[in-house]
Amino acid sequence: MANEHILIVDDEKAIQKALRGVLEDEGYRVTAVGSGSEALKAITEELPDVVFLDIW
Amino acid sequence: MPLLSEQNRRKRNLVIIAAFLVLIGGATVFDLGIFAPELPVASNIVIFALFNLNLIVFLLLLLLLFRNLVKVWFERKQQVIGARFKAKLVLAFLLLSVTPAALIFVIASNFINKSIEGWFKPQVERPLDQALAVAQTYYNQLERTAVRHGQHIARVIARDGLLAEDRRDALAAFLVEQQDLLSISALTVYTAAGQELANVKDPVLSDVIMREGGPGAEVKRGLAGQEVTTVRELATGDLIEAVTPIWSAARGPDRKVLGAVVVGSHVTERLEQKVRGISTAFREYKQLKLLKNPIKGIYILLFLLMTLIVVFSFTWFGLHLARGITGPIEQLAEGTREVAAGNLAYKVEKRGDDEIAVLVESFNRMTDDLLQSKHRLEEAYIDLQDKHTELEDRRRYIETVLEAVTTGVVSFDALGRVTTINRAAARMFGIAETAAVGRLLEEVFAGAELREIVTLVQRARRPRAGSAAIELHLRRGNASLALLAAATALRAENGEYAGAVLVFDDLTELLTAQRLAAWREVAQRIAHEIKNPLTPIQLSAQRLRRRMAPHDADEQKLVQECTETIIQEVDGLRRLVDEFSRFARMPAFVPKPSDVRPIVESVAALYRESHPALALTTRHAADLPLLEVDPDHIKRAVLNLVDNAVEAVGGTGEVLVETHFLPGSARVRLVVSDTGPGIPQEARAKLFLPHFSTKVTGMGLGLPIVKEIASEHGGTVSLEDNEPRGSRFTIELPVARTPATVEA
Repeated sequence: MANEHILIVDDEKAIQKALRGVLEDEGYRVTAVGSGSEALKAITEELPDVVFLDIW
Repeated sequence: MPLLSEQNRRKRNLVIIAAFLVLIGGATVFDLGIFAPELPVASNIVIFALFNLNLIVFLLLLLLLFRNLVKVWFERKQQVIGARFKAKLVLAFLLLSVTPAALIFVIASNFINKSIEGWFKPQVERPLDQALAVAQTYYNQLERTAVRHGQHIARVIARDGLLAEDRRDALAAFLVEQQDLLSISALTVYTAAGQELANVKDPVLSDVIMREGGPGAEVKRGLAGQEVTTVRELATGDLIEAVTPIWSAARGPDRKVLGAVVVGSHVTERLEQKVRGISTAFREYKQLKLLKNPIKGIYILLFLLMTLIVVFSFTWFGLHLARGITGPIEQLAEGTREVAAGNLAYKVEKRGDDEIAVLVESFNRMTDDLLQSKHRLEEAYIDLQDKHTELEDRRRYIETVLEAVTTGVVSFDALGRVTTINRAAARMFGIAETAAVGRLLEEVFAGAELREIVTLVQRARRPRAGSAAIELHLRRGNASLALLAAATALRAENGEYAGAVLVFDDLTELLTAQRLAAWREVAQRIAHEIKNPLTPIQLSAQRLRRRMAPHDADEQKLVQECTETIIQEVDGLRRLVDEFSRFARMPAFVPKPSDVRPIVESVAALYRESHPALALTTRHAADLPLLEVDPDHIKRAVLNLVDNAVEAVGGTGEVLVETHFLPGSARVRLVVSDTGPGIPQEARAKLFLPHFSTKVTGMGLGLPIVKEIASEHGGTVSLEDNEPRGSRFTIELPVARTPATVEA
């Protein structure tokens, strides 16, 4: 799945960075936001294909 | 004597009167026969009737008196109320009257006796006798003289033949002469045929008609040859007449009566009266003499009667007086008996105005007061009963409350002695309730750690303190008991110290819960803080693994191994953190009626699958009711216990899960037992506290969670040794859920 848009929502910067790293390695486009409101904004800007919603 | 009714009494009296009348009659007849048959009946009857009447009345009175006395005596004997007083009074009156009366009687009867005797003295009798003799002699003399005169005159007449018809004058002259000479009052001569020839009268006798209608009987007898003397009563005295026959001169059988001479001698009235008087007196005297004894008897009897009347009246008066007193006394006695028997409404009739009446009145007032008092007393008693019941109820309520609460309550009196101690307090301090009561404060709370309690009480005693509180920490074997002790002083109405009350609240659970809550918060925070770095670490390691393509195989191997380690450890960490997290943040308690048996089965199935070598058996009660439980929570609890059990038997061994129903206490038991090594004694105290674990992995939160779950359902979890070996954990839940005391 190359070039899909993935949205990461997590308030921990470290997790955002770690996930972005792994996913971009695989070639995905990643947008990372730190709160629910930002997530909504990001979704309206560009609808993602997958959303990681604060896993832990 | 028995009481007779009015009617009976009247009849009896009539009978008595009749009997007495008969007695009088009979006695009179009897007396007449005995005493004086020759006395004239008329006067006798009077005297004897009088005598008998007296006697009878006397007897009657005596009887009455006697009867009254006997009655009084009997009453006294029978101890009839008032009888003794009556007897006393009557006796007093009796003696009082008898003495003077008797004295007077004796004197009077003596006097009468002497007087009457005096009448009949010889000095009196003899003169009478002699007087009578004189009078009789006188009359005799007169008669003889008259006869002699008559004889003389008769002789002379016969000698001189003065009876012849022609010698009438001579007869008359002779008669006059003789009358004068001989002092004759009347002289009369009769023929043989009874014809009056001549008579000469003293002028005194001029009014007297000598003989009416011819010669009388005496003259006839004189003419028959007899010498007769008579005494004739005239208006002017007595006339003694002697009739002498006039014999013829011849002697022998030829003598015949020629006539009769009547010589009269006049006794003057005065003399005659005197003589008659003497004779009457004598006669009367003689009669009286005969009646001397009866008369004496009458008088004496009369006196006796009067004495008796006096005595009787006194006695009767005494009786009457006594009755006037004992009557009310009897009534009062009756009244007191009634009152003693409980009849307080009894009233004694008040009669008159004297002191007895006053007594009666006060008696009545007293019974009235008594009645009122009795009523008030009854009311007060009922009141008291009510209050008592109320008090009892209150006491029982307090007792029940005290025994039921988990707060320890100990009370002391002003001297520091234990007055009450409830079950909770006894348990807290390990004292027997009964042993503690009455002992001193210092005795009961002995030991270093309990001394603080004594100090506490002393602090509370201080005048303005009122109450004081401290926290105590006691050791109970391996466990620690945290108590909040509060002492409050009891004060009497006047402010005096009257004792104290100690209240002990068990804070242990509270503290534990607080600690748990604190831990939970910590756990949450730590979990969160730890989890965050874990993800980047793991992701980085994974990334390294993927992207790293080192030139040689060694380096490749190194990278693989290292990243493998990192990832695994991080995984482990995360699991730990997860567990922690779950403990810290349990999902909400949502109870619903559930059958716990399938829950148990699902857990069992899990472990059977994962541990094929395990001998996991389940046993269920057939009549297990539905419980108000959160199924997820219960599943978690059972899972934790089974997990431990499986762990204990090392994956191979016996684990038994049972469900039991106890209808008597309305409880359900979930029991998980294993045949593992068991749990040592010293570990048990800390078993349900977090962070104690014998497992390699894990934080030892399994059992605390089970305890938490049991608590929120209103139940308990406990540990026992299993036979022959191993452990046995029991979750006991009530069928009717009681709300949890600690918030999940």
